[in-house]
Amino acid sequence: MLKLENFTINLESRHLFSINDLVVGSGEMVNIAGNNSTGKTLLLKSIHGEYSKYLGSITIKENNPIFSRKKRDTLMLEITPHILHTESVWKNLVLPLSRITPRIRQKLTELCEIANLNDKISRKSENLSYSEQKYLELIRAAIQLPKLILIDDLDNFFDELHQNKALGILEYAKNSGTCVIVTSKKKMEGFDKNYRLYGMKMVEI
Amino acid sequence: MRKGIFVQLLIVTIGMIFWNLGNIAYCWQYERYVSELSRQPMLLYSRSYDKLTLLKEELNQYSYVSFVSIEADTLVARNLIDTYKLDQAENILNNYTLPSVMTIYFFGENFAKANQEELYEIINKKYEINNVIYNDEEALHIKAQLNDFKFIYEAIYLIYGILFFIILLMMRIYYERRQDRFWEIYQLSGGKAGGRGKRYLWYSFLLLLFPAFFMAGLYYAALHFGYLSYHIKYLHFCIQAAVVIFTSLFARLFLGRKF
Repeated sequence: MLKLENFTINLESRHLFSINDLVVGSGEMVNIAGNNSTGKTLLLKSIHGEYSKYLGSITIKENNPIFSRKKRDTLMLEITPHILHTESVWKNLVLPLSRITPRIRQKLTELCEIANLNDKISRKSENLSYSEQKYLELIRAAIQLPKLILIDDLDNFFDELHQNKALGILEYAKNSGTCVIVTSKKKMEGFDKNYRLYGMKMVEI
Repeated sequence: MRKGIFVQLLIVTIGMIFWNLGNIAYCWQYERYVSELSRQPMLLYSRSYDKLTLLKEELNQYSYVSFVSIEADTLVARNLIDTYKLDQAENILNNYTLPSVMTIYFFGENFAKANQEELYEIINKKYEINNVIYNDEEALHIKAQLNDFKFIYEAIYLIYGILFFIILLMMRIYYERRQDRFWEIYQLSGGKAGGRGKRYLWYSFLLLLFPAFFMAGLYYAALHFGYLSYHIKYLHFCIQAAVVIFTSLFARLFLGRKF
C-alpha cells in the first residue's frame, strides 16, 4: 500500500531524518513515535502530498501522494480538529459524504456508540469537548474507508482508556483494508508496528 | 448556507421586479406620447372626390399611415347643417359646391420629418392638392419631448443595470466568502474535489432561473388577466439574464483560487 524509499527530509539545511525503506501494507496500523521537532508532522504531510521538499520517493498503491490526495485516497487529521462549530454533530459526521445509505447510517450509529456521542448527535459541535471533537473526526474519516488515514499526535487528545476507544473506531476502517499511520510521543499498544524517530533515523521498537 | 441562497434569490427577484416595473412605466409613458402624436391629423381639402379616393389607396400602402377617411362634399354639407342647426340654409348650401375632406392619422413615432416631406411631395405634386392643414409644430414639440424621455429612460436603464450588476457581484462574493470555512473543512474532511464549484454552478442556475420563471409567470399572468396591456421586449429579459450570468462569471473570476 504505502512505500517510502531512500526518504530524507532536510529542513533549512538541517538534516531531520532519513528512512531507507518503509512498507506499510493494507489494513495495517502503524505508530510513529518521536519527540517534538523530530519531523513527525512533516513525514505525515509528505505522505499526504502537502509537503514535497523531500528526497527519495513515496508511493501509495503505485501512485504519488499528490494524486492520492486529490483522489481522496488519503485523509489526514491534523492536531487541530477541523469541524463546523455551529453545525450539529450529525451534520459534521456526514459532511463529506455524497449519499448516506442505511448501512452507513447504521455504521455511524455504531461508531458513535463507541465514542459515547449518540446522545449528542443533534447538538451543536461547539458543545463537544476537545477529545469528543477528535472522536468526531476519527469517525468521519473511518466511515469513508480511504486507502490511508494519517493522524498527527493521537496521544495529545486521549488518555489510555479513550485511546482504546479511538483504536476501536479505526478498527472498522482497518478491517476494510485501510492503512492507518499515527504519530505520537510514545510507543502505543494496539498497533501492528511501532517505530521511533531517533538519531535522525527511524527504528522499529 | 441555505439561508444565504434564499436571501440572494430574494434580492435578485426584488431587483428584477423594480427593473420590470420601470420598463412598464416607460411603456406606459411612451404610449401616451405616441397616442398624442397620433391624435395630430392631417386635413386635405379637394373638390375632386375621385382624386382623394386614389390618394387614399396609395396612402394605405405607407407604414406610417394609421388611418385615412374621406368625407364627401354632401356629407360635409350635412354635417355643417346638423352641427350648426342651419336647416333654413340648406337650400343656399345646395347651390354651392363644397370640397371633400380627407383626414389622415399617423402612427405617431413612425412619422418622421422625411416622411412628412415625402407625403407633401405626393399630395402637392402628384395629386395637385394644395389645401393641406397639419400642425407640424405641435407634432415636432411632442417628438422632441419623446426623444428627451427616451434618452432619460435609457440613461436610467443603463445606470440601474450597472448598479444591479455591482450589487449582485458584491452579494455573490460576500456570500461565497462567508462559505470559505465550510468548504475548507469540507475539503479537509475528505469531501469531493470540485464540490464547491458544482455548488456554485447550481446556485448560479438557481439565481438565473428562479427570478426568470417568477417574472415570466407574473408578466404573462398580468397580460392574461388584463392587468397589463404593454408588451415588454424580449431584449429586456435577455439583458436581465445577461446581467445575472455575467455576475456569476465575474464573481467566479474574483474567487478563482478558492475553487
